[in-house]
Amino acid sequence: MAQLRIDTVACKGHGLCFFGWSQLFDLREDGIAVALVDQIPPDIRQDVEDAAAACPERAILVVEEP
Amino acid sequence: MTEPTAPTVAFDPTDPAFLADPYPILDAIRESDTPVAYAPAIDKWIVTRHADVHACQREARLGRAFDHMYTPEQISAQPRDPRWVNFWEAERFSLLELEPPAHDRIRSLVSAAFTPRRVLDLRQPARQRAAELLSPLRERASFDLLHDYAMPYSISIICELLGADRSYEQLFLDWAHSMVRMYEVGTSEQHAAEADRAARDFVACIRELIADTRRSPRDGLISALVSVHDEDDTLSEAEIISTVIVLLNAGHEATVNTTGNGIAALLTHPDQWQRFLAGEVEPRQAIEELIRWNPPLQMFERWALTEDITVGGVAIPFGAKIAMLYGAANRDPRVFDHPERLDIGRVNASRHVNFGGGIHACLGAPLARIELEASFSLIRELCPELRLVSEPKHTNAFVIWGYEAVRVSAQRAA
Repeated sequence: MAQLRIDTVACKGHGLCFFGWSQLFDLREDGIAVALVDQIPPDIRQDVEDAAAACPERAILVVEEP
Repeated sequence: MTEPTAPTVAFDPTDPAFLADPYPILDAIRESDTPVAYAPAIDKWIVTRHADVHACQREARLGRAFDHMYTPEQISAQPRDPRWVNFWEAERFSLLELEPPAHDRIRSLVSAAFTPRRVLDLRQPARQRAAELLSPLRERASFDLLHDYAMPYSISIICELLGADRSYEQLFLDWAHSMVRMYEVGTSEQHAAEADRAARDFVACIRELIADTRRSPRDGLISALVSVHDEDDTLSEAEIISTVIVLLNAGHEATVNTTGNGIAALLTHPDQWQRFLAGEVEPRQAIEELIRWNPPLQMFERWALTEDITVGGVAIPFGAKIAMLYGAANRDPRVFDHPERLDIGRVNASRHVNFGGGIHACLGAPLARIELEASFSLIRELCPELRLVSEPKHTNAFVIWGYEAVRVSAQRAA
């Protein structure tokens, strides 16, 4: 199953993922995003892809497992 | 040996014909074979494509300032006009005008005080304030969305955030408005003098608020900025003053103009306004498209701090200034399908370049988004009959892009 990852160096704390998909993302105290799920089951795949498309820093990564 | 000829472009953001309808010209430059080119009219290198703007925003060798590395003579820059010393002093520790290492130290301290949690706490107050302002306005035959609504709304949220008394609202509005004129192309001497006076008074006022806070600690960002520390490091008074002033100047006008530009865009696209009213698209998503389509900031500059910089394959000379054109980048078809179309449901609309990126990424972006979300939600709830009563007229400024007024009525047309 694909994994949800945050590139915490690229993340600059815009907060879009948290505002839009608070079931999938939280923010650390300094504003950097935290993924609330590790695995991406098919029923949330579209939400994750939308959130990744919305990220201005392209810091939301979907890592496909071999 | 001769130097290769630099690409040049006729780009003049003070030309009234351009200001009347900038997008066809911005589109044409972006799609030409010189999307990065020297514009003699402004003595800057303009950058128009999304990928190039995105890269410039994240390029450490393109700095918002040069004085951490060079004197004005070394970089062939005009020294700052000594007549406006109050203005330069107010901006001295602005995060927007600092580069590392000073930038990183202050940003880290400011971030520790200006936290997402503090901003999220404003969600409910923002909704309440929007409702208080809109309820009487919607009964009027017409009102100006900017002066009657967006300005008092935005400034009251900022006062709430700062922990400043509401009696400061009008003063803050006037000072912010005077100071931001300095960011325009070719600011007149009269406007510069007004900006300088505003800066002087603004600094004195914030200094007093800091002193009050030290005497009797209270809630709010000023208090948090006063008490924040990283091991032994703290923010100095001058650093707090610049931080508060930049929060107002960078935050206030941008949110006001996003409201004006955005609502005008919705009302002139009835299909999109209907989608918005019907709840087909959440306000937070629509806002991103409205910023992309007609942004509140059109141009942002940086200095070339080394001799080896290329942007989109074009060499930028040492000491030159680049001017990133956000309205051009936000309509780049390489990123946005049919970019000229307003589509409030556009999934990647937030890839617009307006909140910046890299170390200067907008620290206030979450605040802006919360303010705008509350505003647009309440407009939708309370003013579903909203319509323009006259065509809004642009200010003659380009950098801070917005209307003089957006005259609307929330009453059903007779």
